[in-house]
Amino acid sequence: MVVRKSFILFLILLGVVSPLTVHCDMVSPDNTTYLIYADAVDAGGILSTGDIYSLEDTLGEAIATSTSGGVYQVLGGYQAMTSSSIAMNISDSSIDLGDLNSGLVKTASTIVSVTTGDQSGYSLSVGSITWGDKILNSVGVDHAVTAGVEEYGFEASGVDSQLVGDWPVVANQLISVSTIPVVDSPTTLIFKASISGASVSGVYTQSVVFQASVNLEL
Amino acid sequence: MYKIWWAMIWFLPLFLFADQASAFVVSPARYLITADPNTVQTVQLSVKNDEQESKKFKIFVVGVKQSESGALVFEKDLDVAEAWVRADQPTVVLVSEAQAKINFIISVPKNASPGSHYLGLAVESMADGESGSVLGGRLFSILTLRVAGEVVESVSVDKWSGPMASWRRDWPMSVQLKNNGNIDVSLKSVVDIKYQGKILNTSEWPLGNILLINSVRYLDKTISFSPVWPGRYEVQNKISYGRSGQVVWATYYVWYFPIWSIVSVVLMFLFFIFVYIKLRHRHVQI
Repeated sequence: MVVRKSFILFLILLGVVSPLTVHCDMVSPDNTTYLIYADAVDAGGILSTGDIYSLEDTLGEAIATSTSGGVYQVLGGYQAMTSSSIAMNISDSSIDLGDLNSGLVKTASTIVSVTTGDQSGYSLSVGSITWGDKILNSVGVDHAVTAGVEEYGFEASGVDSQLVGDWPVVANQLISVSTIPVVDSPTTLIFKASISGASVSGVYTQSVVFQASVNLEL
Repeated sequence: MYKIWWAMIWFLPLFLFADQASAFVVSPARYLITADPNTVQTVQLSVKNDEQESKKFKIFVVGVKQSESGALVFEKDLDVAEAWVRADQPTVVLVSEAQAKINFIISVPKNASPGSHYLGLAVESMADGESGSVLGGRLFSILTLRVAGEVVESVSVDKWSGPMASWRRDWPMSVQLKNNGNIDVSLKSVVDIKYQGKILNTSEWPLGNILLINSVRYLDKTISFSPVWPGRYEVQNKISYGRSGQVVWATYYVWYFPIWSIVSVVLMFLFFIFVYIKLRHRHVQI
């Protein structure tokens, strides 16, 4: 009996309650609303892009009035723009990967350079693509265009490049990002293609549109 | 036969037309407009051709959304406001080094609901007469269009999770937020680690750029600190957002068992087993 009681006491000390009980609380307070007012702008309402305008702080007192009870009024009705611009330059008008064969991967490269003075930096991506009559298969999830397998993709390199390995050439594929202003920041794009013995012969064409924009502010 | 297949050479010329004529500049890079319903405003975009030859540019408007990482995605038919904005000319031809101003007319309908809309004002360089090919470089000016009225700032924490139990000092945590309001919000996060009610560690957790409406932000981060005692630790993520500075918070509990505590428990368990066996053996002898 003494032994049994000791054993039971031991179990209690050890803790029979599972130590893996976890709990997660999430609390969301009431939503806050505020009003945006739009006043009439000056005649024409056009801001000339010839002059330099500073970025207006949308959180500043020029817009927001004092708050009371969680209701906010924002004075709107204005136009604000940055003085920055964005520019793009691509080094080649066309790329020719030449005659493909199943024994090796053919490549060709071009350089896309972006310039912007916007403090948020820029993002570069594939905008849209258009194939001709025939389509090559995109590179697989191994991110490596392999000889003897019908695959097509591209590799990006540069300070701002976000990609490692070979990636499919598809719309909205992100290529490069910078979070600071840049001047002629280059990204080298190496297009790669390979075929298999079963690939359909013929001429393959593809048009690619690269797109760039500044990033959203913080 | 195998060798014959390997000997066959498929001539598959692949011509890829990339853009060289995209040496051009667009300004400004972003716009913010606030407008009443049933009003018309105009914004202007400047386009400059930096090429050595004359180029034709296509002008159009697309919608903008955010990926879970915060990157912008430009697509048609994303936002109803795409139909409110039109360029006064669909194309423009610029000689080398020339510049043009493009007007975008914004007509907010009478029944437009208050809130934010995000659009990309696009300028795309076009090829001349290339059959089946588009020589394309495309630049966007981001337009944030806010319709006047009552707006709601609302962010929810849809997920805040980490390891249930750990013997490590690095805890990988994940957070997922969603903007349920009708206006974009900035985000700030502070993560507190508490033990028995006391804050042991406070750190800021960058949440990226502003969160657009109906967008989800998903982030992973490993929190490192040096706990001493085993037990339940409270990891609280406080997120403040928007102009109202509202705060939403989520708490996750992590059971921390350092190696020494696990070893101690095992040794204690073995000791009690040994004592039990000894006592039982003595009882049997008696």
